[in-house]
Amino acid sequence: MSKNTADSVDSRVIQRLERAVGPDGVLWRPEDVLAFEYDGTIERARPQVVVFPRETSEVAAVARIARDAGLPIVPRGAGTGLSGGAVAALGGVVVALTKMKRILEIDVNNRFAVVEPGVVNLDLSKAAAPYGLYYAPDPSSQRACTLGGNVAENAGGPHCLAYGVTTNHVLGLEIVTPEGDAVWLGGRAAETPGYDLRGAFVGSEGTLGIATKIVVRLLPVPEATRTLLAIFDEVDQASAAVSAIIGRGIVPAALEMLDRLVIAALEPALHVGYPVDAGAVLLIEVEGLHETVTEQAAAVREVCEGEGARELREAKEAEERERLWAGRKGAIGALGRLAPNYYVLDGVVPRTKLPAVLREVYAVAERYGFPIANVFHAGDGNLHPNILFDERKEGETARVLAAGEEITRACVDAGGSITGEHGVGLEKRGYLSWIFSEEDIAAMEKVKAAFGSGELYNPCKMFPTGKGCGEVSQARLERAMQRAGPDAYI
Amino acid sequence: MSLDAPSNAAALEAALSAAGTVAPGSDAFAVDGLKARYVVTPADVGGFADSLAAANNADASVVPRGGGRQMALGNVPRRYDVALRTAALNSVLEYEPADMTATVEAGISMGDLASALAEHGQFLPFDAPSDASLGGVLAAAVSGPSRHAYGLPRDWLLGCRIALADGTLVRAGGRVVKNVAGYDLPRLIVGSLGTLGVIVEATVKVTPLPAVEETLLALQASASAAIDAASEAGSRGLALTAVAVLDGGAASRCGAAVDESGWRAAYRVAGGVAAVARTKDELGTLAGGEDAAVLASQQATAFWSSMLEPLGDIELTITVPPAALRGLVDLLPEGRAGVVAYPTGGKLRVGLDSADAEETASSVRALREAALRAGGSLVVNAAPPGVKQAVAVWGDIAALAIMRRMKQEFDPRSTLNPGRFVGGI
Ligand SMILES: Cc1cc2nc3c(=O)[nH]c(=O)nc-3n(C[C@H](O)[C@H](O)[C@H](O)COP(=O)(O)OP(=O)(O)OC[C@H]3O[C@@H](n4cnc5c(N)ncnc54)[C@H](O)[C@@H]3O)c2cc1C
Repeated sequence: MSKNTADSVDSRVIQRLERAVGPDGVLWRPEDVLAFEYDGTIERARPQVVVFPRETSEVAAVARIARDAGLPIVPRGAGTGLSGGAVAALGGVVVALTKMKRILEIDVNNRFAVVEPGVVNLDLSKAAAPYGLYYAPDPSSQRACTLGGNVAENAGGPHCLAYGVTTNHVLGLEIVTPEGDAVWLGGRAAETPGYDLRGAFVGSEGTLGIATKIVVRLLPVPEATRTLLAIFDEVDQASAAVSAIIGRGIVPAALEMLDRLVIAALEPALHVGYPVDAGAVLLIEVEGLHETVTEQAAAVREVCEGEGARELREAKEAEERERLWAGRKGAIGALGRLAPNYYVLDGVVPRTKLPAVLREVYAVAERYGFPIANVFHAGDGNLHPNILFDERKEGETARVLAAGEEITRACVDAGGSITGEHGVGLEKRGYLSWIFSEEDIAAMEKVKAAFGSGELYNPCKMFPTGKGCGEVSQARLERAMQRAGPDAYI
Repeated sequence: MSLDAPSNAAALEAALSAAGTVAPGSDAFAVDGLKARYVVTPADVGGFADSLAAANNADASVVPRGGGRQMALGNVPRRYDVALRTAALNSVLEYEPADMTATVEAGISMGDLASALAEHGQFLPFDAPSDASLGGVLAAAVSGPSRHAYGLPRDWLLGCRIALADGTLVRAGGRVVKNVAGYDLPRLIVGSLGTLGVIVEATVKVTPLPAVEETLLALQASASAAIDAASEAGSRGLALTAVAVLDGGAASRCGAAVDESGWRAAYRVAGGVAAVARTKDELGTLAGGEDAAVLASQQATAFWSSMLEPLGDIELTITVPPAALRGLVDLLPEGRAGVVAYPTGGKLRVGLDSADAEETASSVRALREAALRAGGSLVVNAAPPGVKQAVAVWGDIAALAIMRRMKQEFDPRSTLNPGRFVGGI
């Protein structure tokens, strides 16, 4: 096996792969595989081969070849992941699903679509729009990320507050198992007898197999939407308003928070009308029947005013609504204006703990001397603190990671989780034991074994231990962070 | 190690008695006519895990039991030594209404849970009888008319504590509404019928009780008219929290009798005042809607809860993509006990009273084939043991090889519910 861990791979393996997917579907020259070294985060590692299958049978053939050759295998979508899930930690074969991007079927009567894994999230909603339908989970990366990647990460998005995350929308999956067999989990109906393997596969971060077909629910476009921007002088008021809205039993379609620093970054870049002098704003959307949204919008207004909102604006027309959303979806990208680098976290807290934990986030910023910009899914209690820094300064990256760890720890201490939607991946596998005991993790390993997934199947992901993955150490993360250029941070 | 050897049985009994209250098996705890040797009621989660470990060590088989409402589901068990009850695991551990999450012990009855939540104007939108346990409802993935608005049990379980067959207690998921750390074991456990482990604690999402709630019943001339009307109503995004279609037999069981050939569409309209008014207006314009009767609130409660009762000695559950339901009702056997459909969820329950196992088997075969062709499945939800032997309870299952390995990993000695689940797992 050692010959394979070098930069080159046995030429017979390349030939077998070329026979399986065609010569134009295999990259192996070091300069060609370079672009597949990283995803949206900081870790990098070079695969020896990248293959681009077009059919399930080709994926199956590739899985068997990699297995026979004792090579690690790593599924990959668009590479926008934020936990290093698609990084070939131990080298090996990256299976890029980007050529499997057909929408195979849109069943209007039954409201589902059958897609290949490389279909880009937003493209599905566009294809469904003529039928008055759309695909609800909307990660901010939806113009780029693939549905296969969404399934693997159980991706969320602003509108998942009311409609649920990816797993709530996946009816069935065809997967190629680690052993190279194609099987269906779930199907086209809402339930199938037997263990919910579909449910276990969603969110498995590419460690249980490769999704080759996905059946997803489509929803009818709601008849009415109202979009409000609640402007607060203080972050504390905004986070109290979030708790109060949820506590009142209102479930908006979306409830997002952006703080002063985020607005300072996005407004000059995007000119979408966020007030630069506010402490924080809430972007709140209610959807449904006209009657329902009228009632909910009034209730939301009342709660926000009660919590001290300085102003409430409502989008008058579609264009204004789109502008506000463009600001939200472009927010993270705009952070580059404030600092050369930023590092995004993904903790979750119970919603009543939001004010306290946000205060702790700002206290960490103060203690470490880093600006931290917050733009996040407040209604779910899913924080995204972005630590702004400059990696060229001696020792900064180490301190960024330490600050990030303190914040993640604060989320766990508040009864929350280490990740709400970005996944554990390479990055947070050391934190898994903060929330799960050895026995808990051993139970997850049973699932892995049942799927026939071994040490070489997307290695070094999710689980704290793994052969050849090394210690999960600060130093390792730090080295990775230093190797990555500024564009490696989203 | 065999329990036939008196010394082994005595050792097991001693271990069980140390972990909980032990009684001899009785008819009340029989499963498919089989009686357990022991009925064990541990007082707490630790005792529950110890009982399981003791049984596992003794190679004794365990049938976990909550409210006993889904004991007819599944194949006849291969063995049945211990009935292990969650009845005493019934406390609310943590409930923060403002977070809309609650952590409870899994033996809590749906009724007690509902009362605790109602004090804060909240509820868990499951369709299960009030004497069913939460754990049992999750393990059997019970669903009903509310699925139209609220989805399935798997969508409400945020995390749980599971007693594995060897007595190890593990936590899965978490207590927050969004969480992707680790594999989604809660989803794997929901619907696994206690064959991978026993849910001993559960953290669920809860939701506000609607401000206004009314039940409307519309008379329909045929099954297809009823299904069409209900599907149309469901697709308009109206303020509906439950949608069901019932044949004459089922309607009269629910206290809303119609004449022989008639059908009913039933709607629970709920939400804000204005949305409810608008929804009722629109329902009135649908076929059969102009004569719709509004049920008084007490009658409505009784109507929806009777709907959760079995429709006959034999009950089949068919799940298909929703548009296939119309074709399936045409295939329903004459002389059935009752039919309830949840058209927007693509689910059909068929009650049969037929004493003739062969006749039942042929109805099941025909319906199952049609369900499979439509991309769905049929499960025999309840039946006398003789009928279960004549028909396949679960039918053929895709990915059975992975499921068998899952069972092997979690319960290598096949202690939990041996034989009851798919493929004889
Ligand atoms: C600007 C920006 C904003 C973002 N916003 C959000 C957000 O709002 N919500 C959110 O949840 N995420 C967000 N993300 C993270 C990311 O976009 C999601 O995790 C997305 O689901 C990844 O999809 P991908 O196609 O890029 O997958 P990749 O990054 O290529 O892969 C991600 C993981 O999926 C596995 N994988 C990929 N395809 C398959 C397959 N077919 N079968 C099995 N495993 C597979 C990989 O092995 C890897 O572990 C954001 C990212 C960026 C850069």
